[in-house]
Amino acid sequence: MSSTSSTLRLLSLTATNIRGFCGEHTLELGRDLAVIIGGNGSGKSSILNAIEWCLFGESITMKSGSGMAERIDWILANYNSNEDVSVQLSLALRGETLNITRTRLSAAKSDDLRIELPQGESLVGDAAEAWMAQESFPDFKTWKRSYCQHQEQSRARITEAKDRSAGIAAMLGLDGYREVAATIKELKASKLKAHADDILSDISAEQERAAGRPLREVSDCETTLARLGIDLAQAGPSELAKQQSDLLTSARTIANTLGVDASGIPADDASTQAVMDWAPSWKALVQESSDAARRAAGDAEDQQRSLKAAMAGLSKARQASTDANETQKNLTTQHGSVETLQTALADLETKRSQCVEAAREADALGQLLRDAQAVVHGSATHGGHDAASCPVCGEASSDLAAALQSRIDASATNTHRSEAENLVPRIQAVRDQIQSLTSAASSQQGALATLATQEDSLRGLLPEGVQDGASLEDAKAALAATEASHRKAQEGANVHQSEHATRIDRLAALDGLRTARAKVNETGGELTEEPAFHELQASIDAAAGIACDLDAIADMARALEDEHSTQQVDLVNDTIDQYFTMITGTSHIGGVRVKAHKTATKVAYKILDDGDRDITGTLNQAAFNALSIATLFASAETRACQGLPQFLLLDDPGQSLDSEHLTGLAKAIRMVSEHAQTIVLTYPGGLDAALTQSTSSTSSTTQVYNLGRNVQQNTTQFQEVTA
Amino acid sequence: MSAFEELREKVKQHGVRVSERLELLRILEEGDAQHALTQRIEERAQDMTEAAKKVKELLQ
Repeated sequence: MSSTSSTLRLLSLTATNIRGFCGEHTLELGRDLAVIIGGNGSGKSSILNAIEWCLFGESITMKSGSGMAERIDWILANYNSNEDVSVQLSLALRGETLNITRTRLSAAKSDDLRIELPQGESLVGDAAEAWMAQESFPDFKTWKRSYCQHQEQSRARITEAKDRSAGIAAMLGLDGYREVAATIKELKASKLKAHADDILSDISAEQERAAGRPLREVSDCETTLARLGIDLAQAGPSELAKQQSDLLTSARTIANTLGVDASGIPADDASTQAVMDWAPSWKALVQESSDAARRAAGDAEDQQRSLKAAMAGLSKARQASTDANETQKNLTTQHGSVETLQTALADLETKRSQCVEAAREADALGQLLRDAQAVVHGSATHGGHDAASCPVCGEASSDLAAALQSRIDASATNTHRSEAENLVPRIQAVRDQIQSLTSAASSQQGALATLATQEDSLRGLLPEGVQDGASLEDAKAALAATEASHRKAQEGANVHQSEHATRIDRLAALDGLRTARAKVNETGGELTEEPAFHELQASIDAAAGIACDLDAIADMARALEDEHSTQQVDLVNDTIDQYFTMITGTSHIGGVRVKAHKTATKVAYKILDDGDRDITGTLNQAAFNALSIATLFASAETRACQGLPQFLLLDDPGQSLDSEHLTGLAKAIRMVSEHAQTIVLTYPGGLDAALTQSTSSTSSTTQVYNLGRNVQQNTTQFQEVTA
Repeated sequence: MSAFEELREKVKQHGVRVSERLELLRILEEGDAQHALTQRIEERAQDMTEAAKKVKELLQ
């Protein structure tokens, strides 16, 4: 049965497949003191790890969260099991039993936390975490400081100022104030003040720039006016009015000249701003007119060019026509008309036909004569008849042969053939003449057609208003006049554009000067009277307010912590000193005491020896361990007395202690176990013996386990050996 | 008396901006005070930035 009055008690630990445990193993606890004895590798640390993982989950394995270099790459599951990992702690809280179970399924990456409350209600996940925080279960930092003697953390409890101060503050019951101050410190509300300072500095600089800006503007306007040729002495309202009037008059004039719509031109009494607003649209309008004039002039120029080309074409066509007429006339004069030539050609061809016929007849006669001559000649040679006369006509044959020869000779000199041949070139010449005349007539027709086409083309190019009867030169002159008119309009528009721009520049500079001078006169008006400035001031006040309030609350928390620490430190000093002296025997350093020191940002605690020296500078390793354990025990006792849930888990607390110190430590453990349940993990032949020997001196109840490895099952196992 | 009860008493005794500081203590006492207060501080900073922007526009 329990004899301590602690609100929290560990009743049992069930570890399944975690670290050294293969399969499910339940360690019954519940007494004031549990001593678990095991050699190296027997599983002592696995018990510690199982309890920590159940209470704190991943925070004990996260590389940046555990605060222990040894935990880096820490593996949770048992090497020999692929089964789910779970740890269940059965607890008694204020006399009622509840279970906290943390499970990691082999297929899942995250843990599942479940709390079964005494009333049968179950809480999981965030709800379970929230319940633990509400019931003042420690977080991992507090655990390391006030619940567990970690081998890795033992020295830090004393040597690390932050850990030491936090531990002592918790021991004093002042961690609430400390937490408030720490939360506020992390908020860094002072950045609001810095932000406000930056804003005010920016505004101040902007204000200075704003104050100087009108003077610079006046100077810039004066420079511009000088460049635009305006006497600065005259650069007042009357000059502004004059420039504005000139500008508007000029606009109206050019509007008349160009035929531009003048309805948009402001009235003479319009404001300068209205004129400035109108100016761009007017510029666009005039530009449009200038572009139109340029296009019209170009068109007129193109028309002139076309007319000139058409006139040249017409002239050429006329010349061709004249040439064709002249050729026709000359040929007719030279050869006669085509009809005459055709008559002559017919005569010549008739004559040539007659000559050919005559020649053919002459040839036939010749042949007949030669035949007759042959007959005559045959008769004379062969006889048969009177060779002296012609057998046909009876004429004397000698005469007949001669007569025949004479006639044959006469037919051989036939002139008809040569006459016909002579007629061929004459006929060809007449034909050529006819062809020339025909061709000339055709050319003449073509020239006339081209002339007609050119005339039609020219007629189409004549500008409007130029009648067919008007001279082409007049038309050409009219087109030139049109082009010149458009060119003049374009030039006028351009000149107006340029003048208009200059006038606008002058007007703008004069108006700018007036505005800048007005601003200079206005400078000096109080910015602080502006509503926007009031709004800024209010926002700065609000920001400064929250920053000051948070600072004040943090300061109050520190002041209360300091005040209470002064009041309570004696009690804590006695408790620490009591445990320290118990462990070390008669202390070689006299006594130890805690001293609080409040600074602007924190309350720090130091542990001093009886000579007011910082104790961390004087202790050896054994004394360090003893002081660390004494501080832990004092903290546990104090917290238990405050009604906070508390138990102690000591992982090989006898490190570096000799047998005399181990005896003292055993006494101290017995004593603290009267206030807070204590579980001791230790190796055999050291602290365990001292603890067994000291049982009779206290009222706390004890249970003892031997821890070992089951090689066959490859697991940690334990056996209760409580006497 | 808990730390917050004592702090509330202290704030009241101090007598300066009591309601504002009690409100901050209420937030500090509740869960996730860090987030709630950080948000409040950022809002104040944003208010200042916006108000400063308007003043600068006035000065332009």
